[in-house]
Amino acid sequence: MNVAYVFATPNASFILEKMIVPQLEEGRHGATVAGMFFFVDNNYLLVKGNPTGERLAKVARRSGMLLMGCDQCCYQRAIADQLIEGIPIGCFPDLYQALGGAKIDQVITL
Amino acid sequence: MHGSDPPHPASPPAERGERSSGEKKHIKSVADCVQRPGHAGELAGAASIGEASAAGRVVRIGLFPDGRARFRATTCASLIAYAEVACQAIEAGVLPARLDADALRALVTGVHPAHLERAALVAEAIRAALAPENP
Repeated sequence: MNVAYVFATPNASFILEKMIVPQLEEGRHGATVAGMFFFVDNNYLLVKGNPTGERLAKVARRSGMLLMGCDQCCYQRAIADQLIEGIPIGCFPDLYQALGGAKIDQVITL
Repeated sequence: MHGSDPPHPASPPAERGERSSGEKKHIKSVADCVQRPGHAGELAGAASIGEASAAGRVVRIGLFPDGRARFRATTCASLIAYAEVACQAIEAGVLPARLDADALRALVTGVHPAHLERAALVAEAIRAALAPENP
């Protein structure tokens, strides 16, 4: 099953750090994660040096999973130029284009 | 398209400014420009209008006989920011022909590296507005 995660709540950090990231690192998540999109303060996870973000980026480089920040959220927080190298930012058209060929079965908002 | 706000004749105050060779530069963040796009507006009545587009993004710059500059752009934050500072600079007296991509990039801080090319799109729209064939 191919899934995409949308992180839109304050719970994202906990869920990523304690559940999703370790499972992806250990290859036992149970679904193929095609992409993750980050809204509001969850974009701080993508800033260079954030331990969870760096772990996610490592997984993404290995698996090809998309990580994308919400561009306006990043610009509002003045972090758009401080993200982990290679992580793009965009809005819905960019997200849909990036995941267009991924055959997503479920989009899960957390 | 962004730009439903009514035209505003005065440039919004710059949060930070610096003087360089006698010319005041208004350096703004993308968020500032998106939150207060004082130069977004209707282009009807412009002396010339230039348009540029790429990858589904469109920006139009209108130069008015009274010195005003206005833009309309698709809802792309960095594109709006570059268009906003371009219009602000033109109204502050910068010759439009001098506003190339590098000049526009120098006016906006904190842009994502992949979005820096959107300054070129705005510069292209300005060049189009200045083209001789433009009515």
